[in-house]
Amino acid sequence: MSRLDAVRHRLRALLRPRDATRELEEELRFHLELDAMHRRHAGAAPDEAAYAARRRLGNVTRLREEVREMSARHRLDELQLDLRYAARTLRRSPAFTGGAVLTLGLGIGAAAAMFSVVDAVLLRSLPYRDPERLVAVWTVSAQAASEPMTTSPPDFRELAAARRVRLAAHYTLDVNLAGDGEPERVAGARVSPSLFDVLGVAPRLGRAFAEEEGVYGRHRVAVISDGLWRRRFGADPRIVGRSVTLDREAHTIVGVAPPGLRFPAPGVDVWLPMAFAPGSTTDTRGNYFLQIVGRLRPGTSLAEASAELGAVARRVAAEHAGAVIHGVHVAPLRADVVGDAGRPLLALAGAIGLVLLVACANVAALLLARGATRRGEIALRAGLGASRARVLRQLLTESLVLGLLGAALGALLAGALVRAVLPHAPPELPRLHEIAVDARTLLACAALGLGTTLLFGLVPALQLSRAGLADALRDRERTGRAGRRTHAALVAVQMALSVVLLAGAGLLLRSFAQVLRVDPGFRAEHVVSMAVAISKQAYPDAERLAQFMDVVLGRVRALPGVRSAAATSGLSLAGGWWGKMISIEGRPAAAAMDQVPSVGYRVVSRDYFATLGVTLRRGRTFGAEDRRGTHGVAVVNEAAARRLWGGASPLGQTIWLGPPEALVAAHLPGGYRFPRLEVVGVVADERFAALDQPPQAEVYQLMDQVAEDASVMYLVARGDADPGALATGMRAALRAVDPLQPAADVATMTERVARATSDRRFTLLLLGGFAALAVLLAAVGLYGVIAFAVAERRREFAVRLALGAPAGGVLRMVVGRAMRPVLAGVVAGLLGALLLAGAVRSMLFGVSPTDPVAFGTAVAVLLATALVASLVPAWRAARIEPAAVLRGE
Amino acid sequence: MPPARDRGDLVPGTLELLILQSLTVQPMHGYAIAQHIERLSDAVFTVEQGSLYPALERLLRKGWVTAAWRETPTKRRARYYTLTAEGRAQLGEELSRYERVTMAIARVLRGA
Repeated sequence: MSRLDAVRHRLRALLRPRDATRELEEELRFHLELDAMHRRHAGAAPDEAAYAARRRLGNVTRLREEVREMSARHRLDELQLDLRYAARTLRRSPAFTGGAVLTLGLGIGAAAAMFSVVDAVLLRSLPYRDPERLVAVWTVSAQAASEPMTTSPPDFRELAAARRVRLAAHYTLDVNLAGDGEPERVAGARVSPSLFDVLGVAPRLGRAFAEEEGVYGRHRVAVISDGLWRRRFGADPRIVGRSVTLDREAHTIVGVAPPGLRFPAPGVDVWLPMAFAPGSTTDTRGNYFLQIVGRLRPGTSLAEASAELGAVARRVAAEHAGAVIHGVHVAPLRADVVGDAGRPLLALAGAIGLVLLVACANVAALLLARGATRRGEIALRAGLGASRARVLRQLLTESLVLGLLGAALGALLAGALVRAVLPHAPPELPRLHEIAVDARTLLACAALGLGTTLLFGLVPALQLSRAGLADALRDRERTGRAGRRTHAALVAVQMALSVVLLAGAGLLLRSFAQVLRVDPGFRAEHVVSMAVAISKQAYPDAERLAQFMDVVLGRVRALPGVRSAAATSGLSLAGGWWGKMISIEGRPAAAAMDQVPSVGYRVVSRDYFATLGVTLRRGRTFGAEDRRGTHGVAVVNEAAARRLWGGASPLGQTIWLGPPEALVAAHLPGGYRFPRLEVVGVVADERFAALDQPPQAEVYQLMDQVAEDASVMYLVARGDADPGALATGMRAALRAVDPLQPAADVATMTERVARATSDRRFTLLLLGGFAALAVLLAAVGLYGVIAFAVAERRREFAVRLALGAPAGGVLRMVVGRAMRPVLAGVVAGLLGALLLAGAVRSMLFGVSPTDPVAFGTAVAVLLATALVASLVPAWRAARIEPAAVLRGE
Repeated sequence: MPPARDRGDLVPGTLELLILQSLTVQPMHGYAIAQHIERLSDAVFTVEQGSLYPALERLLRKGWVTAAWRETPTKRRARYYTLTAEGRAQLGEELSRYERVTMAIARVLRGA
């Protein structure tokens, strides 16, 4: 019962404070009247009685305060007061508030955005059930133990019998999709029927594959991706059971994958069961093309699985002489997904961490400076009776408001930054579509910013006990030596961090410039290219393929504006890498297989070199005299000439694209000889894989003279027409010859070259942005600190000027004092940058990690900025009117 | 403000007990409680009357007393405080503890 009364009373005080106050007043009035009345009855005069009663009651104000303070309402009211006061104070100094909020917002926003990217790409787990239990299994050969390789089907079947881990194999291939619309080339994968189960992914519609669908004859089923289902089939809910033509064969769709499944590669749109026709040459021990993924059984560790699989591998090696597999390499699956993106991303994450620190240091300096100017006000409030706790609470509220505003701005900026930057990101960045601002990251960055704000905002109140009250009120108190040292330290830290970032950006910029200067080996302007997947059924041999290509090329050459057209099996910066072994007649034969050199190999049509603009260095390219059945010829590039002939002319030399026959006699039909080719020309090097990698030795052969057919051919055409029109024309030409042959990967060579540098460009963009931000923040911070110091010492300057010191002297003094921490910071930053240089070596091209130009420029830029930042307040100091200042005191 | 003890006044806790004790006689308003305490203690304790009302507020928040506005015998409005069961129990506990302490001190002083 009493509890209830207590609660009721408290609630009433909370919800109806005015009633409670009124009641107390009435009660006190009653008390005073009664007391006065009794005194009057005892003989006192009326006003004397009233006065005595009041005195007896004591300090009424205090009493009211005490009663009111007990109510929780009071605390809420106090909070409200604090907030309003904080808002007012912050509004009154817009430069400070704006500066602090902006600095915090920029730092937090940029950091949260960047960390979210890193988180999505590197850290977040893969979208499979228990992804930590997933592993990738690679074959390890005896000859190249450090280079894990793909596996052959028979070897996979042996490995799959393992008990500790459940394996599934897969390989990618592109398929031609037809029926219900334009033929389309889609990325696909052939997989073990158990793949979806091993990954722990359930189809959103229908089912995954059944075991028997891995048997040839029952394998014409498919699982399509969510993207393909929406794009091509209009998200038809009755898609399961529909038929679709893949590579000219009818397949039944049995399931739709869940959205976001990017296995084994982003963009895979159709999964097919892996089933080899009986007697297929693909299913042989010597054919290594399968990738393997596995799920560790419960209770098994990676090491145990690795041991079991390794034992299987060794058994296979023992049972089959000449088997390549000697062991296995088992690694967690995650590493495969991320690949090369890790290093630059981590570097960028480090960079943005530095920027965030710079921002926090800046805000800290701002708060310290401001706190010093408010010491007088704080002392006054304390003198008027505010308890230390009260003052602290009020300052805390102010800092909190500031910090929250900064964090809010940061949240907005983070979202905007991610949205702005994403379209420019290189499309091969793994898991690009999963990048969004991550709540945890944002909170962490905001917490750091808020923590800084709170810490440095409270410093002036904490210093209160040390400051003399009178001195503080007279504003005579100046920043003590410790305060000045802190300011200097903050400036130095910011400068150091900025130097590191600027140096890094400089190095990347120089690398980028170097990459842009690389000659790709061909002339990229005005060339349109597209990939054509060659169907084996339609063009089962090289002769028919060559005929098909000739007809298509003939039509393409007839298009308006086309100067020349060609076909090639491998297009630089696009795809179609083909490697072959090479042997040279007249040289001692290689003693073992792994001593046979290998070269890049391209099958090209007659006009290839002219179309792409590859310069001929020696001899000739393919001409009308080279036809099927005539003397076999080949063209090599300069890298091949250097590597295989030591720079001497290879013209007239005879080569063949294979090992010495003696080495592989056992595998060849009796008396077989590789076709001999005469080297008739040397061309300039083309950069095949990337601009920043050295060119490989390559050999070109004429399409009409080869017996092997390629699975992909690239059509290229050089013309003056608008690229879009040219591409459409080329597609039409292709369709006119064979409507079931789709074209894919349509791009101009200029685009391909740009794409080849897109990674670098993106990283440079980001790092450059961070460096600029850091320098800006550091400059603003420096300006603030100097301006504050100048303002504090105005009287001193005024006195000096009045006593005849030259204005230039004052200027020099201020700038000189300002530059001391700057120089210290720059030196520290240089040391730091030199130390970190080795870490970014892999990202550089044609530039040493300690490149003096980059470092020198960074230092120069920063010093110049610092000089300007300190000149402005110094200039103002020199222009002080001594009389006005001294009088104004 | 110097702490209560130095003023020669009562420590807040004791004041609350005295109030509770006063209210065992009958429900009273604030002024009456103050008079009661002064009279009974022969003015040894001068209650800083200003601390009476905060003390009463504390008692209300603890639920040891309740308050209600009533008419005085002289037809005025005053807030009367009444002891609750909890308050009465609290008082009993404190009194018995106080007695124990006092008797112990007395024994020590008498050297028994």
